[in-house]
Amino acid sequence: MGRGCVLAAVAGFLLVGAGCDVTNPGPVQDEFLGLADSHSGLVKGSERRLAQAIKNLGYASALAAREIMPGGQTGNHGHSPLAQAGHFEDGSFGGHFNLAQQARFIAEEGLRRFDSPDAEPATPENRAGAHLWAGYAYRVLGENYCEAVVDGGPLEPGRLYHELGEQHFTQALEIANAQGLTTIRNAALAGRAQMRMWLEDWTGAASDARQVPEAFQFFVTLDDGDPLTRNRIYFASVGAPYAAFTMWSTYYEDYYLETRDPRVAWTEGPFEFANASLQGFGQVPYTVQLKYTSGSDDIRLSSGREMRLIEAEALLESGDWEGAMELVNHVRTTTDSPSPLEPWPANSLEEAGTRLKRERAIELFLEGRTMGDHRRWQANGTPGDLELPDFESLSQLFRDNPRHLCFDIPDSERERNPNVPIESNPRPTG
Amino acid sequence: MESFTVRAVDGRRRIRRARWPAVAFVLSGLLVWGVGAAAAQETGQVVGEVTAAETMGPLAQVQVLLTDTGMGTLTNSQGQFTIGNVPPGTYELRAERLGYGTATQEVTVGANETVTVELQLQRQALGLDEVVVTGTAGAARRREIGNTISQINVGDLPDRPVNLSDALTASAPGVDVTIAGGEIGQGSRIQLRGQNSLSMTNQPIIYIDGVRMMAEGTPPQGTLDVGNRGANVTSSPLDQLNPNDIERIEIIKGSAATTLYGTEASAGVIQIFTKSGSAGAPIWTLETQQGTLWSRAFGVSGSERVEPHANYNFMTPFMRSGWLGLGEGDWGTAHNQMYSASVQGGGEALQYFISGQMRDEVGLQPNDFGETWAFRGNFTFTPISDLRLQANAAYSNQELQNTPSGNNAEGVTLNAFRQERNYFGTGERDALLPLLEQQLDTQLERYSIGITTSYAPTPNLTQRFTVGHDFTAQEHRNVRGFGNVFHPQGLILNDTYQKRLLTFDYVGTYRFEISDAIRSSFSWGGQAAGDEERRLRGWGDGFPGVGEPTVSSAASTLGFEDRQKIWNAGFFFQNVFDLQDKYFVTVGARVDGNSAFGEGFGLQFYPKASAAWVVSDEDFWDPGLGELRLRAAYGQSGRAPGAFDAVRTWDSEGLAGQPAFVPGNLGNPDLGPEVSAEIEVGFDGSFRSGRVTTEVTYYHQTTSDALLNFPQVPSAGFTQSQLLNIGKVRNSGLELGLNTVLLQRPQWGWDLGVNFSTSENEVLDLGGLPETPSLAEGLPLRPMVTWLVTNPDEVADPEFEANHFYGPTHPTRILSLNTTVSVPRGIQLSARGEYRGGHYINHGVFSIGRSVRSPLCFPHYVDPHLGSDLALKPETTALWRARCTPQWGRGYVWDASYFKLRSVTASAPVDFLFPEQVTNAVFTVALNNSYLWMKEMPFMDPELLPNAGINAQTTGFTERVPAPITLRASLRITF
Repeated sequence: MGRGCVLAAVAGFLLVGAGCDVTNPGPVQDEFLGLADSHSGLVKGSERRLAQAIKNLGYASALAAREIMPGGQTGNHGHSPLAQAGHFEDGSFGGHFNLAQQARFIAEEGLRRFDSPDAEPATPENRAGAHLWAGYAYRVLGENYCEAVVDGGPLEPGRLYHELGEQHFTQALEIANAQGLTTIRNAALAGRAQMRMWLEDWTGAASDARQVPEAFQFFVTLDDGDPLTRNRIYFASVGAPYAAFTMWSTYYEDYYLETRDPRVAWTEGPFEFANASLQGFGQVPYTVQLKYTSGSDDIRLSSGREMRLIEAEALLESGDWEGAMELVNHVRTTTDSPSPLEPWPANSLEEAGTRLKRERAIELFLEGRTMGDHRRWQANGTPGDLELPDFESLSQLFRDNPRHLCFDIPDSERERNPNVPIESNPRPTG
Repeated sequence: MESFTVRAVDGRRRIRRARWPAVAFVLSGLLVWGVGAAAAQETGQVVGEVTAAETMGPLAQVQVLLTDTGMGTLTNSQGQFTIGNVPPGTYELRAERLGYGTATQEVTVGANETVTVELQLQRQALGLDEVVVTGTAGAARRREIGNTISQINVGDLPDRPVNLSDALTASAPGVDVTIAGGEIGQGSRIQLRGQNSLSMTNQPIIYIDGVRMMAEGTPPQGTLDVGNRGANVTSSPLDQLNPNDIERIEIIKGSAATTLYGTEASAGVIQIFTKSGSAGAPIWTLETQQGTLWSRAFGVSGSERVEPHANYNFMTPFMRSGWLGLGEGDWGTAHNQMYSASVQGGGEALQYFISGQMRDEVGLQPNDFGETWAFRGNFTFTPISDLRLQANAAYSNQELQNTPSGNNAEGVTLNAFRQERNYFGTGERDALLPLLEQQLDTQLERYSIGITTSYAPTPNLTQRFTVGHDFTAQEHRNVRGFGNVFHPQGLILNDTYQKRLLTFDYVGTYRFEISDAIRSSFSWGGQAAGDEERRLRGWGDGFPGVGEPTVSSAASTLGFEDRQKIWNAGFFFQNVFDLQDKYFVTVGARVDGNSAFGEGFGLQFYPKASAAWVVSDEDFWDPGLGELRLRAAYGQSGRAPGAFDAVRTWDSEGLAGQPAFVPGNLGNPDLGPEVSAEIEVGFDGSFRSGRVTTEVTYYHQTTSDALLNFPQVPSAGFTQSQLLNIGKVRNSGLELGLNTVLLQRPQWGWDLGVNFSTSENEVLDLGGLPETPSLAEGLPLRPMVTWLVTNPDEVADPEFEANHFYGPTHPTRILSLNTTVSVPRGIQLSARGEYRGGHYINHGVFSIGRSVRSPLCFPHYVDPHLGSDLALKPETTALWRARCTPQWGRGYVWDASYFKLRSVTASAPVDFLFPEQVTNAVFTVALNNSYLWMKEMPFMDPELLPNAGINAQTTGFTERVPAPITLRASLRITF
């Protein structure tokens, strides 16, 4: 019996020992990320999160900017009735915030690892790429959030995002210039022009913008093969099966019929009505945007054409509205359109402001930029009218719930970060 | 020999083989062969009758055998038996049946003589000397055990259940079986004593003949583009088993009893024992069931219905009817059938049990079909008297076809429920028909092999070693073909899931006497369980044209692979002190390691101690009072974290074909199991000559180091919550089982059984985790916390109280009743019902926020017709304004208490229809799930579960159809 017991004990210990030694494949363990072979994966990881952030923030902010008309869909690929009105409740949209924060965190974590003493050396492409994606992540954060928080730190003015973004673009630019990395150079210049515009450094913004070739475009990659990186603005509208929003009753419904401007094209949908039903109105006629025609259509982050508009806005800020209109109409008339677009008329600073705002909204349609522009113009007192469509006449939903011009720091951050107060500050509405 | 059924969906033909005629042919052959073989026997015989001592009524299904000869048989429905071909000589005749004591008698048989005997079996009211094995180290008599252990003798269930989940439903106090939905293949969720874990599974672990088997549901049928584009069916591996193979099921429910199973056992253990062969001539059992099903109304019943189909929530055009004009529908009638055959027998050295079963099922929804084949072979080999080898093997194959349903924008149910506010903008039947072209085919294969070696070299020493392998594979093909209404180019997913469980289990027991009055039984052992999951998904997008595609046919393809392995291993020691066979004290402990523990954690120690006192064996006890046993137990067991929870990881997610790393799990090297400690006290009693038996248990569980998902600061980068051992949870309740024989006569009888249990849990400590409205100290796990309308009856706009706590979402009171009435000619009428209450549900079927028109609101709309606006009548009260106005859509929390009549059964012996070689023939008609009473809910079925099906931790349902009413007729013969 004694021998049996001993044998059992030994067997037991062997079993316990065996039980503790399992390595599972799949997720990558942290220590492997210092290896040079992992560096490009970190850079790409930042882009992936940025793609996820911008496709979601771009869709939600389009409601606030009234680029689109909600159909009433909630849940999958829809929004709550309040968000459909562009009214973003305090502390909401935590998932979108997480994605944008991770986009900059991954890039900055990559840079920390590249600089660590025991890391394998990083290539200039990876180092510049990390700065570039960090910069664009800060741009997305800065355009969509009025307040900033970084790495669990305190709540700060949203300007912090633009400042940090500008620093990253500057460092990306230095590496690109030194290594002859043309695409990164142009993307960094364009990104820095965007940041300087927000920082009201109009001289710096115009200077950077002028250096970006007009044909240059820089995109964040989207992929229909992966639901998480699929172009959501396309998927939510194409009727397969989601028809969550429509172009009906937006500014662009009539504008497209009049001009056939391909930048804001739309068509009839496969069904008569959009999904569900809009609160206070009923079923909404369904038309489909054609800016994106595939779940793999990338979203543009910057372009030479936008740079011309930044130059135009810098001129407008200086009071040179005629010079501004020249650039605005240059962008307009060089649009690759089946029927040439007529230049906008303008006879005053106010009218030029209206035309610049409209042209910028058309050029950057559904790129997640317009809500931020509305806030910036409101804060800066930029002359001109936004020409918002009159949704208020359609439903009480819009009358009772004014649209917001930025998202709030979400509850998930407020509840877990002791440096951020629980209570939200008021946000600007449009 | 093969016949075919053809179903057409919008001009598209899908062929499905119906193989039951072939099965009938084979079974008929077996019947003829078996009867012929039996008829070939001759010479002397033993005939007789076995009766129940209490009633003097006949006892059927009693195993009668001549010891050491390999000759035996079963009694028929009149309790009669015949053992033929008996060589002249003197024998010991032995009769035994589960739940009864054993009777023996010496018989002497002469050549060409017939010996007639009469035997009586005494019912074992408490079964104190019955041997159980679950939760004990080796086998133990029930009287020795300090905890309660429920036993279900499947053969005694009157309604001939078609799957194991049905057999467990309302079977014992504290056993909670929830039917997830009415789809073909949909499983049932099983929980014991409610829930005591916030983050991990609350499903018990399951063993079959000592081999760990898959307990959780298979992954739900879904897709990759949006996860829920399927039938959202989660199958239960339990339902792949053939109930006719099962002899009994033992259930231990809490840590006081499950300590020896260690980590992973704190949600309880279910052990299934399949039948073994017995020495004697082959005994054949054949059974067929023929049945149908139809839907119970699940719409808005009892109120004015404006729309003709509101009573089925507009699903009538998509529902199949039953036979005999039951139900209504356009998709033909549902005919379900089952054929089963088994044979058992053998000699002294080798016994066998071999079985096969085929089930052909047709479901409520148009594309719902299922076909299941199950085979089993159990062999017992005793080469020498000290050594016994038991080898059990089973294989099953289930093929399912399903209808897209659940919370699924491309599903029939969701689009039918939402009518013109759906994804077609119309609820017209013809507009939704293209959804039925989606192919949802699932194949489930399982095999389980176990070999147990029992060796008893001396009378005092027994050793048992089990090695087993349990394998489950599910292949789900989800095809939206070329021309699909939403995806014209077509999409395909092949989702292959495999789970392997490997069991090594050794236990040794040495019994010795410490003194004349004290005996000791010392046990030791070790156990290792390997749990490996693999999932391979192939995804294709865009087909070149019509036809039957594969993933390879698609223009673009993607592949995904996930795999993980967890090993848990431990050893234990236990000693049972037995004083005068009436006082028992057990102490023991288990030590576990687990591959999912953090690197810095080490081993986990689980102690146990229990005591039992058979009061009725005391001298002061009047034997006329009956039997009474008091018991108390304390024990700990655990629940391990997931495979990756302890490690800091980054996920490789990729972007357009290029590798991309994103933060995954923050990691926690100190992560260990959550540990449940339970105290259980109670008693078992048998009174009035065994006519009243009762079992009362109080339990109190405290789960310490409870695993809680601790949210991280999003701006710090790792946004995924990290499991930490920081919580503390209480779960306690009372369990009562009462069985009474109200009438006991030779021809007449009336039994009544009651099971009642309570289960109440509470979060005691969140360990610093920030409270949320629905996760806070003092609240139950998963509480119902949402808006309350504070002025419900006012004719005014609603006023709300945010984050109102209604109560738990899990039933806190379960009462099941069962009764059997026996009348002359052996006819029995039985019924089984179950009440669950004390919980709340917040229904989410009608998306009011999307301005969907709920049939509930029809009486309150100014214009109650579909397609009109949602204006409410001026006299509408605040509660209904809250419910029917899109901007609120609140006020849908109901007291979810309900009662279900699980089964009503009539059975009668029909031996007289068959040749005399047929010892038993029983005809049974069972009506299941025929009546539902709901305390508050005016529609649907509060038992439904969300898309995650039986793996869901929460209650609350989505767009499903409830489980149907079934009517089955069964004929079972034994010869």
